[in-house]
Amino acid sequence: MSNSVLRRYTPPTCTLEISAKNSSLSRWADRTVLKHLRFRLHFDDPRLSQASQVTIQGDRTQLEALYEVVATYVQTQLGQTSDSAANRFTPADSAAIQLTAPTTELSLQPQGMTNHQLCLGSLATPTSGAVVKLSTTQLFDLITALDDYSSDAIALPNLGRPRWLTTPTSWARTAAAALVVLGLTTSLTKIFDGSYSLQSSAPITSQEASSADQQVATPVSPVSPEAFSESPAPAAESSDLKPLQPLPPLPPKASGLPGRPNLPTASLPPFPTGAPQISSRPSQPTLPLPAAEVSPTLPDKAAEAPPALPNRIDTPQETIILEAPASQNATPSIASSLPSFNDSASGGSGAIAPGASLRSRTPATDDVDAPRVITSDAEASAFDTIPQVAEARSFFQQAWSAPRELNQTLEYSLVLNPDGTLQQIIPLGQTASTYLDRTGIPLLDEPFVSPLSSNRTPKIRLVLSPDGQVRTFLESMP
Amino acid sequence: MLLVMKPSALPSHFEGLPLARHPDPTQLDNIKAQLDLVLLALEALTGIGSEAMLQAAADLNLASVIADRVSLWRLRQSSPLRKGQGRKKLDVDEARTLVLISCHLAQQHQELIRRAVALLEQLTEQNREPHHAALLGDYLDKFNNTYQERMELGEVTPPTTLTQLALKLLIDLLFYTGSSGPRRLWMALLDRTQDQQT
Repeated sequence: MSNSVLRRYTPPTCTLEISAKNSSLSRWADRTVLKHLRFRLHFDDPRLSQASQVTIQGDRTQLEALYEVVATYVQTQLGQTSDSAANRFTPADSAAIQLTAPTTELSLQPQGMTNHQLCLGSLATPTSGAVVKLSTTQLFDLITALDDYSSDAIALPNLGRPRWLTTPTSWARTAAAALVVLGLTTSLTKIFDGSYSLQSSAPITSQEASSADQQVATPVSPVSPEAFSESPAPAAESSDLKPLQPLPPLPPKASGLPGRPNLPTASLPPFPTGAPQISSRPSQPTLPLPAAEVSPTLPDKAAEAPPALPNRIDTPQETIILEAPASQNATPSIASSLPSFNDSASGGSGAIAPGASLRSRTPATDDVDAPRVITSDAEASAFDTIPQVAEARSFFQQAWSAPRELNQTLEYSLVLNPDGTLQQIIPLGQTASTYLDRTGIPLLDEPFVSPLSSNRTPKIRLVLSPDGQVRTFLESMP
Repeated sequence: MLLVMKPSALPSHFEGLPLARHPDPTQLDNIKAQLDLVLLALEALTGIGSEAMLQAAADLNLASVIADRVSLWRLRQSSPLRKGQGRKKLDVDEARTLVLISCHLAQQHQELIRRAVALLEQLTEQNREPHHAALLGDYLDKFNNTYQERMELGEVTPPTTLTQLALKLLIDLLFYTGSSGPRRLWMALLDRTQDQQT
């Protein structure tokens, strides 16, 4: 079904045209979710001659870069005091200042009091030239059009065919590993069905799925447990997963995931929401990516992943991950099951703690005989590789209360000092920056979590959802 | 002493105006001064007075913060640049209220502000002084006079400085007329306090 979207924003001196496809995910966002976005920006001030009216165009990334540059520039100008801006105020200087050499990157520089030079960078064309001169009112119109677009729509990154389908990469190996985990899980679930209380093991259809979760599965092929029970075999053959021991049964994650209690355990998230994170923030690969990319039925749907819903990544991953039995310490690590893949795939930068010492643990222990139901109130997850991750999560579960008008997930990277205080807070994205103070994140060097047992500075990812959910996981442990 | 900010139940109108850490007294002084100046620019350009500001407060359901002329006067008087003694306090929510009022008024007078900026652009291109346009000339006169009346150092501030200030405020006002105006004004106030400049 073709859902072409054409939007035009027409302040007096420019026109921003958006051409995209409407993603079926729009129904669950308060804004339109767009994919395959292209934009055209016409600097068409009627006071300009036809020849002077310039048009540029590009894709989503370029549009976002443009927005970032313009918004930052505007904010910087507003934040200046009049004396620091004073040297631009003498009209006679405006001619002299025009000699500023354009840079090769997308950027804005002031020219006198009322003019600004927009260097187009990669958006430049032979017709447009490298530079567009904007008056203040033209600049205002440009930021207005960009603001309006931004408040209207969320654009998804364009994802081509996932690379793992064509080129075996370390991610693919991790993906294959996760697939095997799933498959084995499902097999074990079936084998041991009934011998312990696993809410999540009940057939999906018999549960009251939240409409969002179920509908999420609808537009893309829902991945049924049966599909997984078949696939592990071929996947296992193609990967070096043989040494992997049969895994302990899944705990009931339903209780641990308020708001998403009914994601079927053996079902993958229908969209690889991890992928966009990779493309937009390559320095922060997250574990959920491999599992999310695993489904072989969803290559075309990759583009559906809304960056605004990263919490969905974590959820399904948590259902897939197998908890170590409670005979372990309170912070089981999924790394115990997939250490080799992590070492190769994420280079130690994934959410799995390296050096997990549990890989040789066999399932023949009390895992199977006395399965534990994980019902810790802190939504114990396999990402609690160090206690501080769970502590951080508890902290924010108290502190975080989502503002009513917030409709995006906020993500932050929190770097800890060895003494448990915060060394650095990195908001990921504009909205996260804006809402930083509403999150309850303590100030740097203020008490936060308990001191670390080692002299390291872990980086914890904090994900705050508009519905009040808090997730944390270990990003890296340098 | 910086406070650890816990998210509180802010009124919904304040939720777009976040605060990472509570401003210290110097920073708060800067915020007060800047807000008073933004309102001064609006007054000088549009001729509005306290009535319009109070009406804006009522329109925005912020009458609980600024109920009457006295409270409004007190808040504006809190600017460290102003003449006179008296209560100089302004708390963060009062600052936010003034931000919302300022942008609401700016939006109401968007056309006038835009016209003034466009005139300024034209005159600049032509290398002419701004007061050559009546709208701008009147604005600058009114701004200068009012500033000198109200501000402690008004009499001794050079007119060229005041003109520069007035023109910068005018341009800023244009950006506060947009839907992201309040957020941008708020961020600009906070940015400036970090620079610790007056």
